[in-house]
Amino acid sequence: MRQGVLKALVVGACTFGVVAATAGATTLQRLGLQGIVDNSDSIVVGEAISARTERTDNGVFTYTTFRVSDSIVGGSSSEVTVTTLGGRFTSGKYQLSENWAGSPTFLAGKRMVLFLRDSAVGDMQIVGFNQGALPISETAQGETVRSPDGGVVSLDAMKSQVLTLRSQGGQQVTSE
Amino acid sequence: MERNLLNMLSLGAAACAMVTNAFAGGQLDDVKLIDGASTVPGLIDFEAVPIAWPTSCSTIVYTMDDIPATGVDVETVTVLTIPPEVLAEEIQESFDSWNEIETSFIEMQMGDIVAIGNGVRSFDFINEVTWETPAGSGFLASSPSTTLLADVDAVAGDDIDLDGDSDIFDPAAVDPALADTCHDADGDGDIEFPAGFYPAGTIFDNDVQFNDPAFNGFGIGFFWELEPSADALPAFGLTGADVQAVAVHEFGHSHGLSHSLINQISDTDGTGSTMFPFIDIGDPGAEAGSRTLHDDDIAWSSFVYPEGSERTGPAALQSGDVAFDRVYDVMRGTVRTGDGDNVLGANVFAAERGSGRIVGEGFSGRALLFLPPLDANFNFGDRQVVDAETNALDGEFEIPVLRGLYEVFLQATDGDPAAATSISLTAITGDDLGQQIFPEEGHTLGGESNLELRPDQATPLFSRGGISQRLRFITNEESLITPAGEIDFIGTGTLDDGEDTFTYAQVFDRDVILSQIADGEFAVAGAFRTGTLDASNPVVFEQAQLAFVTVAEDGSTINIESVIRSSRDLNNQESDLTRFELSSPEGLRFQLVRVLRSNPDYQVALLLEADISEELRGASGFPPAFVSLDAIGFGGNDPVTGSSFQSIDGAPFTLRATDVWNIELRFVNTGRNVPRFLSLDF
Repeated sequence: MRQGVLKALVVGACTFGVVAATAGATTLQRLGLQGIVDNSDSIVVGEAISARTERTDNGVFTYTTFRVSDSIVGGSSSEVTVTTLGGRFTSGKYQLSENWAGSPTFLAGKRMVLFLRDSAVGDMQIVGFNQGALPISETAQGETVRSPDGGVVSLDAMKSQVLTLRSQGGQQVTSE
Repeated sequence: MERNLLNMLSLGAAACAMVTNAFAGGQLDDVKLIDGASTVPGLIDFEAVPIAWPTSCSTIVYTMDDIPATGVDVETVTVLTIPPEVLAEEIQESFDSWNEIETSFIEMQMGDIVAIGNGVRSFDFINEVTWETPAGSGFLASSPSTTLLADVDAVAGDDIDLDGDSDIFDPAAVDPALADTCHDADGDGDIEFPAGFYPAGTIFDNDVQFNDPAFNGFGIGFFWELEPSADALPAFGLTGADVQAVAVHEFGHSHGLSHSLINQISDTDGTGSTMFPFIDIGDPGAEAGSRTLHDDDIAWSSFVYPEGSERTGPAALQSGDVAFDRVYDVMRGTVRTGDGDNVLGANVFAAERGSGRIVGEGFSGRALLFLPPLDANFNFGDRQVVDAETNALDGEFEIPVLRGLYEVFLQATDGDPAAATSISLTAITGDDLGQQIFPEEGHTLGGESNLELRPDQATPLFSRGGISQRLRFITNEESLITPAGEIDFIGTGTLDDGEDTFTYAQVFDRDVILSQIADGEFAVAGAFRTGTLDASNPVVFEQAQLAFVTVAEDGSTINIESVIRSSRDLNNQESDLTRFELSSPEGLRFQLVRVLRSNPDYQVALLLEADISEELRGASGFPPAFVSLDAIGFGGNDPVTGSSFQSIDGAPFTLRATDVWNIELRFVNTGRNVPRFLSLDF
């Protein structure tokens, strides 16, 4: 095995300024809400309004545009376009899908809390592959969201929790 | 105390049952175009279907991209370069984990190591393994497959990936021994398939890419290692990820398997199935667990590619093979709500009678989806999900299991321990319909209803026989009270050496309980949101109790007056609800009312006792017996504190002043007339 000096590479990596997620497409390291918040450049509530799929030399990508109804952290645009891996396409008589296990699926009309990060190539991606896309459910108790830490909380509680975590930073693992 | 009633769904409408072969379960799914159908204007009807390789490509040959991986020697803090030849051996070992299954005919083989030079992987009929990933990738590894969305008759000469080269060969024009086998028929480096019919869901191409610091920097938080270890460089935010542990999981996806929800096999085995969607790369025990296929992984690989299912070809029995039908049974059934709606994406699992070891699982339902036309830049029209009657074609499930005696259980795919987004389109559709909000329960012959008072009870079943083919779950409907909202922490707080027992206690307001009972509710269970910091350690609690307690005048402590119900038979769970079922709920409500009326200072508490002795504590230093907390100053809604207590080694209970446990008291309302004695004005 060749050896190099870690220090140099670490310095290089730090220029990205991101403590990136160790989340995987299909083998995932669970981030938890704190980890998701820490890795987000912006956090918004949005509703998917349009989408397009593009096949490139580097695979298939789906670009979904959301109408932003609430910017919780960062992001002041009324719309945001999110890039996800995979999608459906045709090739002659063949209708095909590039299928990524766990890649987020956005349903029209579905409101989501989106934790987004600017990728190194300039588009917006979901933090933690799919962990930063939380569907909002309308229940008898009002709008609710499944917390990445488990359980169901109200949308307002989630927003407040995100702001608190954002201001505090650091890991919550055990109390005291 | 916040009263949080969880009313279960009632979407109305009778079930729309279309009887076909259910295939919902441990397979990845995509969609199949239904020609000409458009239920929602502007959108096209698709049915979710499982994906799999065709029998003609039952030996999947991979090409290794000539790119090294990045490791770290944590002792010297130096970078290691792991050459592709070493990686290829690791990958072949991960293939062999699957190849050695005697009841499955799928095979994966490592081919040449070449400088593919195609940049990031793409759909090109080369099954590629690479450590080259797109900039910005945040994943450990991924396994994209290209699949058919519609049935097709493939004709020799078809160029599917549009590279100017045929991807379909004429079987009559090649060596007869290879006529029915996908292979590099024209010797140009990619794979061609034999002409013929291919159904929707057919996999044509699979690539597995491992994220690497060489492309995305050490900011991704990990480096690669060749053995499970706890190696890490915390100062750099780096943890070692075992190549094989990740690879065995990824190549499960590569041959069509989906994620499972098995994150704790039993009370004595804290590892999960290889296909559980999360891995704790800091826990070598968890990494070793991922390397080793679990019963459920083996069963699903065998179910999809069953040995002995054909008389000739790869699915025919050969030396060393065991016929799937000889050792496996497939348990079948349906999941519906009390209103008769089919449920999409409910998790059904089988536990071995006696040991409680979870051996297999499946997911319910067949989904109809409404999607925009392909290759269109489109605006979403109407909602893609309408209602259960429209979107849920059936609620059927299948669970392949080794022949034996089992109890079968149902749980929601509700994020605990993994969300529908990690499972399948079918599960996502069910979640979007609001279906994944029912409590865990066992299957009882003749006792299934939406208003079960002992939902934990499960009838033992032989996997072979008619009964195991007609399991009919009806999701239960419960309400709950809890002082907690969100989960802010898990933990016990600081523990000292030599401490052996920790008891969690949650007091519930007597007036709320009396009101619930007067409304016709039966208290059926306590539920504790439990977990561990060490993924490979099984979560275990010693006992749970329901008790009458008195609270000190200053609210600082509680005293247990008498125990009402007690159990050491708990369904201990990681990242989910551990339930304590309350026996004889009919009599319990009378007992509660009688004693509370006679003792105006009595409250009711749920207690959960954990063994926290040092020998049980994991690498984190904490015991695998946590209950989560909602804390003041964290999260959105600060809880009303004053009702959560703890005791260590039998010492007096002390108040949790700034937080409350995520502990619930759960009720079922059967709608029966409420006896006069139980009414509030008696």
